[in-house]
Amino acid sequence: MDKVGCIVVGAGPAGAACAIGLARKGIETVLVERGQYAGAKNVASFILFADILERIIPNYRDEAPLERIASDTGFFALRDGDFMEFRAKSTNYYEKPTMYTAYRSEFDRWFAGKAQEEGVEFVNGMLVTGLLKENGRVVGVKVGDDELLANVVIGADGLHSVVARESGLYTDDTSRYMLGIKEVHDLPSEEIESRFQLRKGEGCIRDGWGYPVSDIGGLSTIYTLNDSITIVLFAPIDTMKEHGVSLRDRLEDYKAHPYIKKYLEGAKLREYEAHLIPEGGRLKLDQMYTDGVLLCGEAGGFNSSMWVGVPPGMLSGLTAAEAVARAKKRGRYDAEALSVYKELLFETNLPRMLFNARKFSDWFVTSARRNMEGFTEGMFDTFIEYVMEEVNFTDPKPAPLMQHAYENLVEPYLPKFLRKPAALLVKLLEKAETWNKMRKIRGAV
Amino acid sequence: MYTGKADADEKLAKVKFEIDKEAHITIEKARCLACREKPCIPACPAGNYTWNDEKNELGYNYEGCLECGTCRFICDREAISWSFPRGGFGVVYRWG
Repeated sequence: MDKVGCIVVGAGPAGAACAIGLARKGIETVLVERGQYAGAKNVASFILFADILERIIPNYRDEAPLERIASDTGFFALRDGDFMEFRAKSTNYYEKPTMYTAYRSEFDRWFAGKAQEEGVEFVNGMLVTGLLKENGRVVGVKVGDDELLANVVIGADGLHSVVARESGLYTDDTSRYMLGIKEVHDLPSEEIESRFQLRKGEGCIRDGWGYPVSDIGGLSTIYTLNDSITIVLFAPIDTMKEHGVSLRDRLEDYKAHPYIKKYLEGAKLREYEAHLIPEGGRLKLDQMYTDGVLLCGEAGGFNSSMWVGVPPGMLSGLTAAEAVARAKKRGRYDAEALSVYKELLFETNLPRMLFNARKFSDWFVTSARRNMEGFTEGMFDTFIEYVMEEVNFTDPKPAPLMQHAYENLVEPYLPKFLRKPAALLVKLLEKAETWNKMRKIRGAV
Repeated sequence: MYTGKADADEKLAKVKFEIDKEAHITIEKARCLACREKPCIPACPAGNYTWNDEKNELGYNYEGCLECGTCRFICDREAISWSFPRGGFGVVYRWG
């Protein structure tokens, strides 16, 4: 069989972006997808930031299957029966949109179609089962009993990447894997706009913290599409395992919470989905390439539940394409020639993103998610209980805000031996502050 | 032990599957006998793992697999081997 320039495994945003990049550089490319169509295996849980997309398809606004303009973003915290909400609504973004909600099944299919228009050979319904090696070097892929030869194999096949595993580039760190389960509910467009106080064609995305997954360090999201509402619940798989929790049961609790329930009233389930995502990426750029192989998208760890996955996926795909073009100029595709990928990545913000995501993930894995219950309670205590104390007209002294904040937000993170002295210090500071405040009030009135 | 399965069936009825005759999940059932926690049973978002008391073995249903692959990492005993279904088969998300 003839040898092609590149085989890209996986037609998600990273793989398709890479294939487009390669085709534009005149490299013969085959894009292979295991699903019945591109996007058939993919699950979105966030907004699509379109900056990188615009670089690839400048007129994407006219043709991409986008649903709503995500100019209404927010954050909420839940505890049993209660909620807290912070919302940001932007007219600027609504009028000059760069953030959207979309279905990955539709978006990815469209985007892979763009690769085809560029001359990429797209094959769907084909699973790459392994890598072809010659003297230890990757020279192509196995598709069942068939073989496909290529100068370079690009692994864009997600967290469960066959390419990354077979080429020895993958290390699983399951403490950083999060399971996301999602329900899409039907609701008429006008009803969505009235329930979420949205302008015409505007979408909202809200990230949730706390109930019903605070004990297992989970998170949640609710966002709107044109005629549907999507809810997602996330949890790290190792805390799920530790507590023997069924996330599916927790999703029922979530839907029954008054904050979520009011949005879903009368809506009908359209589809149920599940997907695993890596939290905090993979830090080692030296493990993104080897002889005849490059990794991009989620296969390279360019995703995090704290970060959206599509734009970094696309950007890593484009960068991989550039790396292959550089290697082609030298006529070599070994690890040394492909290591230019690493240098090229440093011309983007991706290493910084990986670093920040990993740092956040370290904090999250080692500390935050273990204390999420206390932190959630703390937020409610600080905001609600503090206000109740402050409007209590019988107590002449100001509410001990510093102490509230310390007990709920700081103390759980301190090493045990520091807690007593720190608590004493805060108490003394609070006393001094109260005395000072009362002195000022007496002086002023 | 977790056995709640009812609501999963209702949810799975809304999902399109292209069912293969070949299973993409295989289980070494002997290994499950020594496993007390059986974390795969509650963890699977599709409720595909159940304990069959009569046969005293782990029952599973690869046809309803949502392909998250959680079971691949959650099993300590390497009893579950999960891989992608063959090309074109498995779950077909229409509203991902």
